[in-house]
Amino acid sequence: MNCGGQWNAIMHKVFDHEATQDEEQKLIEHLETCEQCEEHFAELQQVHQSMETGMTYEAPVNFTANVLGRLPDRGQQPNRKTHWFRRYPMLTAASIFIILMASTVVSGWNMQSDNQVSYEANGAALIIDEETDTVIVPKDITVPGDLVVRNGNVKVDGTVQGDVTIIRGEYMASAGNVVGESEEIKKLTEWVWYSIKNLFK
Amino acid sequence: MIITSLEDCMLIFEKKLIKLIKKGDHAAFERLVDMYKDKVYHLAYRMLKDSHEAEDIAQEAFVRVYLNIEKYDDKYKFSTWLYRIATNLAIDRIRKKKADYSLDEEVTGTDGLTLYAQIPSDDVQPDRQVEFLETKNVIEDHILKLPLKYRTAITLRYLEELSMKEISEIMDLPIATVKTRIHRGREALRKSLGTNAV
Repeated sequence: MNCGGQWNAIMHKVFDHEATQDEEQKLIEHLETCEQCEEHFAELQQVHQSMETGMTYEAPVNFTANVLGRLPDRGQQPNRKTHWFRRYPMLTAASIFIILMASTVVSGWNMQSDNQVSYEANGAALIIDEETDTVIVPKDITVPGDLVVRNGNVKVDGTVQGDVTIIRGEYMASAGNVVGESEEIKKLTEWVWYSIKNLFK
Repeated sequence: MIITSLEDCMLIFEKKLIKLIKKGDHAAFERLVDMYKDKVYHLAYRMLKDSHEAEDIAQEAFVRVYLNIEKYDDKYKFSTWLYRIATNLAIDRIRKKKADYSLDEEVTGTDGLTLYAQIPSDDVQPDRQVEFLETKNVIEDHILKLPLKYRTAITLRYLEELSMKEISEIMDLPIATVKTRIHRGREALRKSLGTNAV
């Protein structure tokens, strides 16, 4: 075989044009004294030269015409309309996502405007005053979380242990206690912001 | 921009062609095929050693280029992309052929020719058949005997002046792996030539 793998490695570096001058010099000196390595090198050189001077094969006649013949019939313009979608699939996905989210949010807002007074009070039973369209938290009632009222006003005589959110209504002066914050949402833009905040709750 | 070499000239011209091809310009595509057809055919032929298959693979590579030109990212050299497509097509074809039956076995008394080489195809011209049976360069036969991963590395290394970086991009492997395969490929060819004196 060979006296040391290190010499082999350098030989290959030489054939890859990656050996330093120093390495080449050392190899030459070694080959002068080591018959095995010299033989190994000569054989590798034969391989190397055979590969380099190997026949270059030319593509057959009519090659290009054949290629053109294999193209599917697509007409001159390759799908101008879908060009941008294909180029930027992530952008397309993001836009579709945004469109869907936006329409969900907007339809959510439109659903509020059925003019029906409603509320969500985490199970607490509240009173609805139909004449004034007001949802009242009675004096001795506690809402154990957030209160959301739709299409009506809010009057808190009891306690709300969370935030009060009023959609298309107003917060009336009250004697009660709200632990969190109160917020009125009257416009679509406010609704959008509210929806985004709720996503992260 | 200062053009420092003929190569730069070619790259600029190539970029222009690709821009046109993206707009569906068939004539520009034709020019590009002409520029690279010999190299791609050479690559395929070295891998497959069958002019019929090589032609098929080479043509298919260009068709894929045309159909997927939108996906070409010009931060890579076009040739890198093209050679990668061609290399992968050749590898797939080789693997498919191996699965069918092993015609790679040597037939005794035929000096390194494989059974495949001896099957005449009906639609091959007589002078092409001669090309099958008479190898003008002995080493080509030995390349065919190499394990696939060494065959690919060696073929690309000696295809033209491809840098190690380009070869690693074509094969989608780290540079160190590519070098190892090239070195082992050379050693395997050395052994092969040594035992199979022609």
